Amino acid sequence: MSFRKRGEVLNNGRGGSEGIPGRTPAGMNNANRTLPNRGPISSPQQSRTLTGRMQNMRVSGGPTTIAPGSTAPHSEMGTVRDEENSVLLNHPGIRPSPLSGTFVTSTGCEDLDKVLTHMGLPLGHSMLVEEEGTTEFNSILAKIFAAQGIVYNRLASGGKTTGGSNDNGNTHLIVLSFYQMFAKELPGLYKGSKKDIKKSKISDEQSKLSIQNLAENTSTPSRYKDFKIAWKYKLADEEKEKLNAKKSTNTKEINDEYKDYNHQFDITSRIMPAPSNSEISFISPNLPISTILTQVEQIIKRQNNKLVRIIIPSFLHPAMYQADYFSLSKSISLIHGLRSIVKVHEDRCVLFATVSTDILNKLLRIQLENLFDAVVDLEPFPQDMLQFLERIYKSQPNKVQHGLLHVLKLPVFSERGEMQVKKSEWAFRNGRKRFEIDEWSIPVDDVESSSNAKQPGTDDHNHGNEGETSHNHSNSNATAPKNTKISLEY
Amino acid sequence: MTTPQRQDFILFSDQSVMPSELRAVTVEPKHHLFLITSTMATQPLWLINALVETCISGGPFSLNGPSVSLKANSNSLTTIASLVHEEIFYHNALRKLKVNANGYQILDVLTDFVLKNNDKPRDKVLDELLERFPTDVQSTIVLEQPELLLSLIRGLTADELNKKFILPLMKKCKLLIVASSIDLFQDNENEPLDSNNNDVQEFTKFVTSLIYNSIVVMNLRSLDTGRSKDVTGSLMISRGGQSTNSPLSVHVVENEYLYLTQRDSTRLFYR
Amino acid sequence: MASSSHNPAILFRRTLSLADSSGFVLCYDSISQTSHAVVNEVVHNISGTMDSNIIYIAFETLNRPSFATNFIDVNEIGFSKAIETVQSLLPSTTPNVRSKNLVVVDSLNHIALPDLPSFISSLVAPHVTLLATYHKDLPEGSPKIGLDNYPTAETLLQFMATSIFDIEPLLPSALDATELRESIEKFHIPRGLNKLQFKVNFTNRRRSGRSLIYELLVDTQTHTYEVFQHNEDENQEETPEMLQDLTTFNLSTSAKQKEAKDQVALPFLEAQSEFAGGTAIVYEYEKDDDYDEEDPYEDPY
Repeated sequence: MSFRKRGEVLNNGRGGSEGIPGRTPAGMNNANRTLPNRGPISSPQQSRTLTGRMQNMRVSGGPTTIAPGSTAPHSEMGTVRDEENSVLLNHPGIRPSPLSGTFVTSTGCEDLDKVLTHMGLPLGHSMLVEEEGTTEFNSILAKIFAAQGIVYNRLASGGKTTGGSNDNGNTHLIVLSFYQMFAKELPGLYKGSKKDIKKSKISDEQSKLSIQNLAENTSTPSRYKDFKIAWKYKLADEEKEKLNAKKSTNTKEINDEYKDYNHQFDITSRIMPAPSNSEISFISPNLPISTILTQVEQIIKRQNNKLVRIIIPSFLHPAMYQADYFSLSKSISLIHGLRSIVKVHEDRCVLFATVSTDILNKLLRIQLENLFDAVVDLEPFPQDMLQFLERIYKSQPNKVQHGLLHVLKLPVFSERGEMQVKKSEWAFRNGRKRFEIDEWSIPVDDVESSSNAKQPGTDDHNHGNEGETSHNHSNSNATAPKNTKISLEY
Repeated sequence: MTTPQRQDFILFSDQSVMPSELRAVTVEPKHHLFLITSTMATQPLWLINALVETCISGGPFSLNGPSVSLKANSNSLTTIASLVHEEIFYHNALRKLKVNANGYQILDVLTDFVLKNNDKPRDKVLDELLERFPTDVQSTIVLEQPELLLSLIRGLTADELNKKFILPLMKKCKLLIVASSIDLFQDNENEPLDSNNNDVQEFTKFVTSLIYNSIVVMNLRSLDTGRSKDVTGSLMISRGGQSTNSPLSVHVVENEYLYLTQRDSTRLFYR
Repeated sequence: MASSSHNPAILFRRTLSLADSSGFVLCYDSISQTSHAVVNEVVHNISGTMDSNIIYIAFETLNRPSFATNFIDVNEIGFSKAIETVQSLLPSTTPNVRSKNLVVVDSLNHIALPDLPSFISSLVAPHVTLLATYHKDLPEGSPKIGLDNYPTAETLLQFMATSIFDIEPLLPSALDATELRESIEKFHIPRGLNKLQFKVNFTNRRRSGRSLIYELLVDTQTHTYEVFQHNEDENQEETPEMLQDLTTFNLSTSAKQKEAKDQVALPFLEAQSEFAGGTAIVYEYEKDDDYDEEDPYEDPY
């Protein structure tokens, strides 16, 4: 198990707590699979082959074990390698997938990364976001995906300059669109309110403390003493801890290591300063297919040491694409050509496209889906469903979801033959600061709460009744007690 | 829950996946077609691999487990050509199965296909593509998603694709294995397929012709009940249009398996 | 059936053995039951009788059938050349030729619609029988401009043929006709098709001008043909008489009761269809499930 050894080194490198060895992250204890470790890897050739699916080639020999003392910070490691790889290997937006060991990059939406199960879109892979109806959630995802690329690029060019390449960035965007305003409309980072900033500082402190005190975890929390049923809490805590050990602790550890991997965007703000030509290349879709493909290829070659994120916002939007694009030989040829390019540059290239399915017939839609490695489908709720949800989650407006997200294909797993279609398992909600994706569950329409909602004025008369009914229903529905509480206070 | 018993993958009445007749040298060359139909949800990589493995190593060891009784077919080459996957994809998959790399070659029909062939006359594209395949009447050719050519080559009809590519390709080898995607024809309850659409007709025609030409059809699909943790989908083996016209002395054994694909391994079992 | 004094099975055998010099025998087939078995059956029926000259015109078939005297691969030599070759292989129209000539065409779908009538008439002659297959399930494609009012290939062939074998599979036991059609439309080919036993809707055009249609069950393993019996057992309904005098209890249902019974929607009928029997209900705890482990009455397992 060469894997576990590296796991240890990982943690040692980070100021080594003892609690970690033995906890293997879920899905990683496959001996055949090497965990691509960005930090300490030995020879330059080795690091080359580790990228993308290339890592599946037999690299798991001896050389991957790390020489003692190689726990040096990343910046130093960079000097060991040739320039090209140093940028990609120290790229803040590239990390290994916790499941398959391929390198992935973030879509800019943390929850979408989770839905993809790899914590991002694997390099050399393509993703399609479809949307039913005339809503525009897909274009928000496209913008966030683009903005994330810009943020990566600025992380590199601002402050710590890496290597002596012609320009400082580490990421380049190629947008297939003639609408150049797209660049100016990208959302900026979410800064949060003053309160939030304070809170985050405090929580930072707390988390630091808890890491230091990891060994002292045995000290009894006060609530064990406070309650008679403390043992139950204790059990629950232990359970939780076990779960954490399996799931979150490790992902958290990794998250800490890849702290610049995900960012949160405020869709009401604009990224400042607006991205320049050196950060985004626009290619008009109304050029001949071969010209488009050649241009994409040239740009990728010119940006020879950068992560290249190709974006097709609102593919086949009739305002942008001429009618002949709806013939298979044009649209499918373009995507096939792009797929080929992304696969050729699989160590530093991804493709992200969005499309409204309303304008596609079944044939075109299926031919498109076929050529992408990952496909998700957004199905926004109709008006009456939204009203229903708003009524039910009256007291928790941030629980109102905007639609369902269906997974049709997952990168790596689907092409391997695994059945990964997940229909109606996820729901999404677009907020100002986040595009959230959560497990979908049908909310319970409590008769009580709905009658409350309709006639708030009659609450006074219902007081007694309400107490009783809420008691009876106390664990039937999470919203019921809350509603009751409000009305009692009222 | 106990794990159901693993079942062996067999296609023919002599308990084999490829009967020895299919590998024997004949005076008059014979040409056969196996068809795999699949969907996005249940992609056929593992099945293609198992068939390639059978051609090269003698049996589908990745599915059935090792066996010594089967002899490898050393003297014929297997060519794998895909319109959706690049060369390294198959290399990696077959390397994991420890398939002898000298036994196969991979033709990458994905990379730069559009760039090279956009605006060329249809016949020329098909001729050039055909040229890339070796002519060896003992060999096996695996072809993934040839129907994509209907989209990629402007104006190409199913008839032309069949006559100018599939049939000539069959003549170049002994066994052609075509893996075709049939997503288009699924779930027509919610979103009916416009059967008057010319493109739809060409796709329908192409798949139908493949079934007419095949001895055996292997269909991969997910369960009607949706995703489940212990079943990936079902593999249905049924007779193709040529099964009643086959010169082989063995016949196709119709069967329905359930299968579970996890990571890199697949297991077949019965309901 | 009473209108005909002929035994359909004998008539069918006569047609298969080409005893009536019927010019153009058309086989309609589909992917669920291809015509190869019928062609083989014709070959079987004529092989014993006389020396026969069988010319196989192949548009799709690559492997030369063992029975073919001459095998013409149209893709190799081109359509017009193929017709020339066939013509040269057929005997000149002298009335004293005794041998039988059979021309097998593996599917007429590959011939352009305007060429179809001339192709057929050029081959049909005394002592020559044309046995041609037409796939019912291949879409015809859009007609060329100027042919808007021209009949479809199917109509055309049906009009020209002297005998028609419309080949259908026997229904696999698990499916009814609608299910089979739906399944084929999805290209989910069920088991039990393309068997050696199948059903033929046999249309026979007689010289008298009459046209008779029979349904026959053909077994090409035993070479037996019989009139197709519609399986009536399955459709047999439970009659009140069946339940009479069994006990002293009243077991029969009135029409009204029966109607009410039929309207009851059975629960989980959908769920039962996938895995018939042998399943368990697996409860998976979800986010919003409210499960109290201390409540003995709330055990989902």
